[in-house]
Amino acid sequence: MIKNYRKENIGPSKYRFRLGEIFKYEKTPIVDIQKNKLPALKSLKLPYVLKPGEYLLGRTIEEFDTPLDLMSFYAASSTSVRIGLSILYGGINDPGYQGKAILGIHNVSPNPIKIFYGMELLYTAFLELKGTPTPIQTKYMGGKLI
Amino acid sequence: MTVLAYSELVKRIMNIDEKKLEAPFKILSRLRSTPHRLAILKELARSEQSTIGKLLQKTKHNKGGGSYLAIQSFFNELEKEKKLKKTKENKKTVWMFAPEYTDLREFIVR
Repeated sequence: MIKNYRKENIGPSKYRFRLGEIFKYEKTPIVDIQKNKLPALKSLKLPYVLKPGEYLLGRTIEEFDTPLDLMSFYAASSTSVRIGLSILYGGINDPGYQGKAILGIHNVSPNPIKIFYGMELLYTAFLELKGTPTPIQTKYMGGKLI
Repeated sequence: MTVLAYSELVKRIMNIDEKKLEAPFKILSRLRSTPHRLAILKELARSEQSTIGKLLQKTKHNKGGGSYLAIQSFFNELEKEKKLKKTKENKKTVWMFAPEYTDLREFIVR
């Protein structure tokens, strides 16, 4: 169900993801998904000091191999709320999804914040499904960034 | 809507049935398992089989006197509960998890 897991990260009713990689957008005149105009991404080394207002994409160490009888919801960690990080995520992990979880990390605080390998910013809770799901349809299968 | 809780998450993620672990965990808590004792037990789970002296050495504890006797008594209690077993090898006592407690060993080692 989750590859590269750590036993200690299994919570009372959730799993706490660890941050594995971070990426920064290159500047581009416009982002237009209708015309497939997307910004390029540059990989950054961890730890990284995220400046106020700065935004990054992150990818987890863990990898989903979601069974067909389950789906999961994402939620931001309460630590991120407390230190002033806004965590953005896709919302739903569909049954059958395989790949790492992708998250957006936005520093909304007035202070620089150190982002490090293994940082726990994103949670997931699994729910049992009633009925049979259709095959998953996503272009981001495998934890594709963009 | 049913959300998976800890026991079910452990079962699904680690492929271990936590219900099988309930009895050994009750025993561990009754035997006053301190972090030190659990660290030794974890080292035994990792090593598969070992002597108490080697386990103490690996966890950077004094391997003689009181430390040795405390672990010996802890292991003897676990042996009485049939969670651990011991064999003699050239005058040395070698400890291991009882074969029927592979789930407990796997849970501790992971």
